Amino acid sequence: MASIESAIRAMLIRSTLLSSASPIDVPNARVTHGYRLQSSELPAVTFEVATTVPATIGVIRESELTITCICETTVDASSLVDYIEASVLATGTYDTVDIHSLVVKSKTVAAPTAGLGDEQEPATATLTVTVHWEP
Amino acid sequence: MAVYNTSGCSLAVGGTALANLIDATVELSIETIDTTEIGNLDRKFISGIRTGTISGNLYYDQGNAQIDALEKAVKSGSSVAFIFTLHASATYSANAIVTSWSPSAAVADVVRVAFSAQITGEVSIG
Repeated sequence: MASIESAIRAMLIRSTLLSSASPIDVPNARVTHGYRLQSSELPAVTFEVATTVPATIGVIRESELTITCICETTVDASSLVDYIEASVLATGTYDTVDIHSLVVKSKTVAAPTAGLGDEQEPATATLTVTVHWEP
Repeated sequence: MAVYNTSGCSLAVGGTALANLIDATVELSIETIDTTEIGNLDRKFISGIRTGTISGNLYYDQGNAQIDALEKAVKSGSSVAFIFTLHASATYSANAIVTSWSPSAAVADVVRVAFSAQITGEVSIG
């Protein structure tokens, strides 16, 4: 059975929007649910769906979606998250799930920081979206 | 005694369940007529005329036939057939005139509409 998570991934990777049409290309394999491996290549996109609640007397549900763009630089992370907001987020039917609305609630860009030792942690840009959907 | 959740609830307009419904209320009332006489120590009443209203909130979608019908009804003044189902075999059926239709929009939210309707004629409780 299709889930909201599988539908969100299908939306993100459709029509090579992220893998080749994006200003910062992200191969489909690097679009993952929840987390990415620390040693995996950048850029990458992770997403998480939290707090699904009934939205109507009927079948429509409301979920909080968080999309995180992980890049080496702040500029890349910011460009990628702007591109996702403008061109990738779209209502429609994905993996048999109907996504009725996508309302962007907030956007946060975090600069790369120094981790333990000399390594640099990547920059992240996070988009928080309220999704109304129907299984 | 059974307790029901809203999974079996619906508000039908013209025989078809209204989509995108967030909440709905039917309020029934009956007027009372004072028949207290001189010398009575306790006020007395008899029942009078019955009336009622239907109201609710929904996510606005003009492409939906039932939502479109409600929107048009507030302009035309035509009455609409409502059936409010609370659970299986528990329904209120009535015709009502849509008296208010209030779409609203806010930053970082979806478009909603609040509506209310005045029941005309008898309410059938089934």
